[in-house]
Amino acid sequence: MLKRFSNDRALSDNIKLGVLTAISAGMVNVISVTLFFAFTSNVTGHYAILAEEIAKGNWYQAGVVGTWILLFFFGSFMANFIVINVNRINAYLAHALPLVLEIICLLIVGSYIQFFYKETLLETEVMVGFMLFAMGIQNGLTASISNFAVKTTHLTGLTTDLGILFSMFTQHEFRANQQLRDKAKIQVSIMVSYMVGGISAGYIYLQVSYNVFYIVCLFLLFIIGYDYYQLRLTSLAKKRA
Amino acid sequence: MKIGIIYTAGFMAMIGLVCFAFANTTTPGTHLIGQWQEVSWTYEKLDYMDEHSSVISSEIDRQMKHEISEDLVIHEAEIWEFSPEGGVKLHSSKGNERHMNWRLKGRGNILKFIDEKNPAEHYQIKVLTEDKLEIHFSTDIGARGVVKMTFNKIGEQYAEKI
Repeated sequence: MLKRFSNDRALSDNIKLGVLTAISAGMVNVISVTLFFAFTSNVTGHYAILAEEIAKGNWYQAGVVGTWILLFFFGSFMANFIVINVNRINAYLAHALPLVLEIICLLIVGSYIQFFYKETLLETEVMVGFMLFAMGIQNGLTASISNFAVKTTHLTGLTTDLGILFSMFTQHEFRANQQLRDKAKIQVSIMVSYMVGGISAGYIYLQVSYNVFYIVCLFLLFIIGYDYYQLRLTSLAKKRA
Repeated sequence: MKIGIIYTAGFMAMIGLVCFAFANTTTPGTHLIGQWQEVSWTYEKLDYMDEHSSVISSEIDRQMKHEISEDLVIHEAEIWEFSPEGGVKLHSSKGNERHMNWRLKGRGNILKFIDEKNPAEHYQIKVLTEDKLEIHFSTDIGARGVVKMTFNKIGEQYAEKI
């Protein structure tokens, strides 16, 4: 999932990465709406809100939303910055490091809620900021390493792409195009996974509350661990050969 | 070197813009503190409008208001008094008083009431200025729609009298 870069990636790499990260994005978004009444996996709505708040002259709210958008931007910036700079040294490390950062952000949010959260507005705004930064990292990483084939935190572009793809599939020549079929497979699996993540987070939250954050971290750890395990297996096989 | 300067300048500009937005503004929580007198209950949006209702204004009458708010913590509350410590007193016209806690969520646009005996309730703050508060919430009672509650800030002496 993480060890290959750009065009070297197989369809299965992208699907596995897309499915697991989309589940975590769906979960994070639903928890943030439930707990903080703010979306954290997408920023399209935040741009609209920013414009609305500026128009109304609500500068405090505009500042808050502007900061959230910037944090998503910096998350994506940071992820790709790590990928392009560390990739020369170690591709796996370059791709795993942003996920580690994302896990740290989500762990901070989860443990803060568990031990300190008093539901003040400032705390809420900071927590949402951390989550948007984490989602920016995730979206930046997946898009970067998959050559923009996998974007898992917002579904606007994905729904648009699916609409286009399915309209193309009304004609036989496009249906026969393997590249388009592969793209549709990735997009559909991301969409379904995002929904599964969101719905399950909604259910799980009722049972385990803020612990959902730790479950999301487990998903991300699985992604990191899975590839590490694969790399170890490959190097062991090479040694034996 | 040049790209470093451009990036630093861009970064500083973004931080500057955010700081500009925060400077000289008060948080929604600060505005909220004080006493608010309810002045109107209207429908902000209605699910449907039949031929007869076109002549009826969107004002909610006392009976309908009673039905809508019956199961809510804000039932019959006409003066809402927010304290900076996070407590809120809801005064009714009959002299009853209800104590609970308030919190703001989202970007300060969601008002949450926390009552130990009841599930938490959430209301959407549409307008919050120094002297005006407009709160929206959805209701399924009567005609399904969005209820708009408007409040004006009142002086402390008036609240004490009540």
